[in-house]
Amino acid sequence: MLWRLLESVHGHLGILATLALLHPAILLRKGKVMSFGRKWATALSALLVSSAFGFGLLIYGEYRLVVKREIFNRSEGIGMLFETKEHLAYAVLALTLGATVCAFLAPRERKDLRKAASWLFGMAAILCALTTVLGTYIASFYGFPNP
Amino acid sequence: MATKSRSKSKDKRTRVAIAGLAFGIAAATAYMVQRVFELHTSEPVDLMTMLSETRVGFTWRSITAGWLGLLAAAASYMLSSKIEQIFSNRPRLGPTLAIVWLVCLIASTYWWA
Repeated sequence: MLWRLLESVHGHLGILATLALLHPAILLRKGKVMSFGRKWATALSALLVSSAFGFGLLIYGEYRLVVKREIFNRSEGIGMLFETKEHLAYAVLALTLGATVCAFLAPRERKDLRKAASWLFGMAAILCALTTVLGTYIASFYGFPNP
Repeated sequence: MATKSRSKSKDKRTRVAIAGLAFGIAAATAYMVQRVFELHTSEPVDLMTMLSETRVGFTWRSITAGWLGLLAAAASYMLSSKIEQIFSNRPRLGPTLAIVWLVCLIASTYWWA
């Protein structure tokens, strides 16, 4: 029951993270100064991505024992898709953290740096969307058993 | 005096911002390169062995990639003015590289297929 719940929370956080990453990608695209709203959008997207990744790590031990083995037994291709999702998730985390540092620390007059951060957020959003689609597909194939 | 220290602080912030960008790109690249290298050099996979090994593999790949990302960030902190020079002279270089990098990164995750 608990693992099923955590798996769902992980998935929902992933979807929220995808949407949240689009926000700073759009808001910073012209390189405007970090207003209160832009700061919030950037910090929130970093927090959601980190939380989704953290939840993934939290359930991974049990997932490997209960779910992953069964997925590989049923279909190696889908098992490897899980691996792909895992790799993409790491890229999302790295890009988001880098872009967040850049967006917060770029001096006021450095529009170009904030634009670069917006590109990184955009790329992270694309990768996060892919991760979420793969995760949803894999979870619909086989997940933690229902109580 | 105050102006000098303010400009010094701005310079430092610019360098750290560039280092942040470098960390993001370098850590993700390092992770994928390690993964592709592993898949390229490993023999056909025994599923049961792989299931017990992947967690260790993932953790180490992540830590190593994070470390390499930090090294890249430190290098770009030192070389930030040169990096800025390269990109400011060629405004289309950044977006082009970003798109090419993204396509390569996504393609590399399907190396197993």
